[in-house]
Amino acid sequence: MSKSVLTGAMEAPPRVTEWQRFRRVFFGRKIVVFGTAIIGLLVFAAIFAPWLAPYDPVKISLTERLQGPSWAHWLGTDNYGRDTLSRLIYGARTSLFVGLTSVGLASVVGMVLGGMAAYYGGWFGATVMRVMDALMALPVVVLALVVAALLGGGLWNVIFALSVSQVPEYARLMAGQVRSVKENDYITAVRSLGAKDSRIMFGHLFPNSFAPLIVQFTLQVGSTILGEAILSFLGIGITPPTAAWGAMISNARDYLLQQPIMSIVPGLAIMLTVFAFNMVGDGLRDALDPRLRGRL
Amino acid sequence: MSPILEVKNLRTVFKTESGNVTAVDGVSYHVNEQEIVGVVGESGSGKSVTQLSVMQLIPNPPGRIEGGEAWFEGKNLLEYERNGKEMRAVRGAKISMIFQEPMTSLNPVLTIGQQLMETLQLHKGMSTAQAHKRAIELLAMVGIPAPESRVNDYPHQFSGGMRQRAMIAMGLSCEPRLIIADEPTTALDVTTQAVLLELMRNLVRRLNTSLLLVTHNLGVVARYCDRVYVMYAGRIVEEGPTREIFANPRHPYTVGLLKSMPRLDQPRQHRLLPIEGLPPNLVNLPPHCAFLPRCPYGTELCSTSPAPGLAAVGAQHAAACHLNIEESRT
Repeated sequence: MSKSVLTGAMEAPPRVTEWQRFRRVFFGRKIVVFGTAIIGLLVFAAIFAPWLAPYDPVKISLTERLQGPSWAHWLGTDNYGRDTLSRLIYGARTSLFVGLTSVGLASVVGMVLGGMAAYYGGWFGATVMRVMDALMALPVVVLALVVAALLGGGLWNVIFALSVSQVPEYARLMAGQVRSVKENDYITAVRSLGAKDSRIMFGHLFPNSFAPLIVQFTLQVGSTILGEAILSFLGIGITPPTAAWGAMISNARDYLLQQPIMSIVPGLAIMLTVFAFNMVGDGLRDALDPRLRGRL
Repeated sequence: MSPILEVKNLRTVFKTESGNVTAVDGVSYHVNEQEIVGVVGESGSGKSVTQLSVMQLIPNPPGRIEGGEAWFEGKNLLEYERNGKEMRAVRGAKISMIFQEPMTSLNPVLTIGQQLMETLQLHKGMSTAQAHKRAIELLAMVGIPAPESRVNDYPHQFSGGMRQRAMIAMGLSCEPRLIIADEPTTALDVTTQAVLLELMRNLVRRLNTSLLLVTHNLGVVARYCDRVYVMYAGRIVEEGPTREIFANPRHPYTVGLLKSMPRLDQPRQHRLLPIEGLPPNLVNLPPHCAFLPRCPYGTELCSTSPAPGLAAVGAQHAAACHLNIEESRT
């Protein structure tokens, strides 16, 4: 075989890196760009809250109760005279922290459980998955309610409650992924080269099973933030006076007719945030679609 | 020449809903040092399962190795725990496998280099830098142009032929004593097949490795193999030196295979003769010879007596047939 024959036959097409391709698909839709911008803004607000907020979010000023928007208080004040804008900014902190942490915890635990259950199978896998199925039979909010009611409110209990209720979803998703990925020839090939179980699982199976979970992760951050708001609204979530959007609405509902902006502002914030995470999740799903791999 | 791998009476069974399938039924074979051995048979004859069994790579459940021995370097591989340390130390380092589908045998999320390096670091204890350098050398050895940049490519950036080259590089990376190539070129186009088989033969010679070539292509066998095993319905029905088998086939199935293959020295009008019928269902194998329903030579004796074992019909040449057929090639 001559060298020229080889190189001629194997000329590579012009390179588009995975990253370039990803960006092109992801930012190709305006709504996704919009969602990303909102999340960016939220993250920015959450990190720099102490510098951005005009007032202390928990400072009570009874002389300034239930004010409408003004130059001093852009979004008005609540029934304790606390500045709504400041509480909104600090609330972003709570929401994002709860959302990301509980989804993070739930996905790690769920992925490892589901992945191992699918990889090893047998009685171990069956037991794990049946427990997951049983947990899944309960609606997320109900399950979170039970956990929160048992443990009481507070930031970490809310995170725990929301994580526990989401673990089954990740476990099932991961188990399905691993079950299909492990039938691939390259898993047998890796095994035939002497790799051990842990290496096959974490080095080969899991990376090939991630894509749909990343999408699920993003979508879930939105609904977890909503879940936190629900728990806080019901009074078993974040305990006052910590600023949390759900608690803000719960507090504002008594003044719905007197000062509607008090409920509208955190309500809009929750809506926009959930919407943004859903849009970004959709964008990720399109951009990570393996059918697009190697095209464009 | 001494055998480096000697398999005795291997028996592998799969549990299925319709019953137990004996995919490999008492198969014995050996591979000598620096020898290229062919295993031929049609789809479902158990040739791949045999190789996977030796490496203990049969998915369990549903598969189970029910008996037999596989002697390699004085140890019986089948006594090792399935994914135990000893078995893993053999895989990739002492015996490596090259699979049929280069398209799906490489992990799509890792670069070619990472996959090559993984084996080197695992078995040779190389540092990342050493392994990277060696990975480039290996890619160059299997004829991949510009290996320095190609090493960072992902499998989807490689063509089928290049992926199979990369697989060969992975198989050879730890300089194993035996390479089991399971239909390594079936999924590739004919010109690439020829190039890759030549490459494999040259590398195997250079590295003093033995090669077990599983194939259904008799042309490949004739060109590359020193000895051949012919498998049918989970059993070896004929074995012998390639030359001998092609010149003097003694099992009706081998005869049929040779007749169904186009030959350059035949007149153009000559028709290929297919083997009539279908391979048997392995769930309920008859007690008599499994080839009997398709055998043009079948006699009363064949249907009444149990399936024949391998019997010597010449020096190093054995066939599993009651009859002593002498079929000259037509």
